[in-house]
Amino acid sequence: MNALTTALFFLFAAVALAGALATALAGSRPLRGLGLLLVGVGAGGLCFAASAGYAGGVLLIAFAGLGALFAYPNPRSLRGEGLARPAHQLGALGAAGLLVMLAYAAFRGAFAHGEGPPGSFNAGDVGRLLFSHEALATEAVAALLLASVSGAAVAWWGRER
Amino acid sequence: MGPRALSIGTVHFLFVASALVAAGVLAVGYRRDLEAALAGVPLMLGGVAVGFVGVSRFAAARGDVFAGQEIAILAALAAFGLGLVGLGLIGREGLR
Repeated sequence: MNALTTALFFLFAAVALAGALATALAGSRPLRGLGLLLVGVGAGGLCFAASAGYAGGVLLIAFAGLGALFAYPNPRSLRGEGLARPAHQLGALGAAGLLVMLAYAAFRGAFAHGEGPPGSFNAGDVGRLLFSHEALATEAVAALLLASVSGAAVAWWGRER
Repeated sequence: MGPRALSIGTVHFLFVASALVAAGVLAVGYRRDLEAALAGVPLMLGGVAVGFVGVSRFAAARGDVFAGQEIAILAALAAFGLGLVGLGLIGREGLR
């Protein structure tokens, strides 16, 4: 990775973590939605920095949609009203038609086949990397996750009492 | 010997991914409001997606770099679907 990509990684990592904290701790709906949008921007940018632009785009769109949903949930649809309108049924039929078209395209289409460098991507390769070359860092990540889960369990237990 | 250039690797991605998962766990475990707790689930799945992309980019140097990206896309779509269904269920439960 060059210097620009490295700088972008740290920038997007900061954006993603700020968004995650805002989502976890926000007291209002708009702030929670903004946090989810920031997570999408950050995670999408991280994927882009790792040469996975398509996955980053999907992450960005999904989290932007989630942010909009969490920030301004439609009270009518949340109450279950207006779900049986003809327009909704027409939309469902359209979605079903699109699914059939996609299934047909997947069955009959001749897609380009992409390949990475030769070799295998399996649990053995990942395990060799994580438990031999970068064992200390893996232990640190595991400790961080363990501390977070334990802290959450203690906080939950304390509230239940 | 000059300063070493800073380079990004698997571990950096795993740290960010684990921090996202930890924030999601915090939201799910700590928040009393059901809607706020539900917002932690997409955070965890986002962390999973970032982790898979990082591993497939760096750890799969001799492998299929697209495998992790496919799982990341699935995780993003699952996060969106779970959020949608969860918000709908919370709205329905609120009626009772």
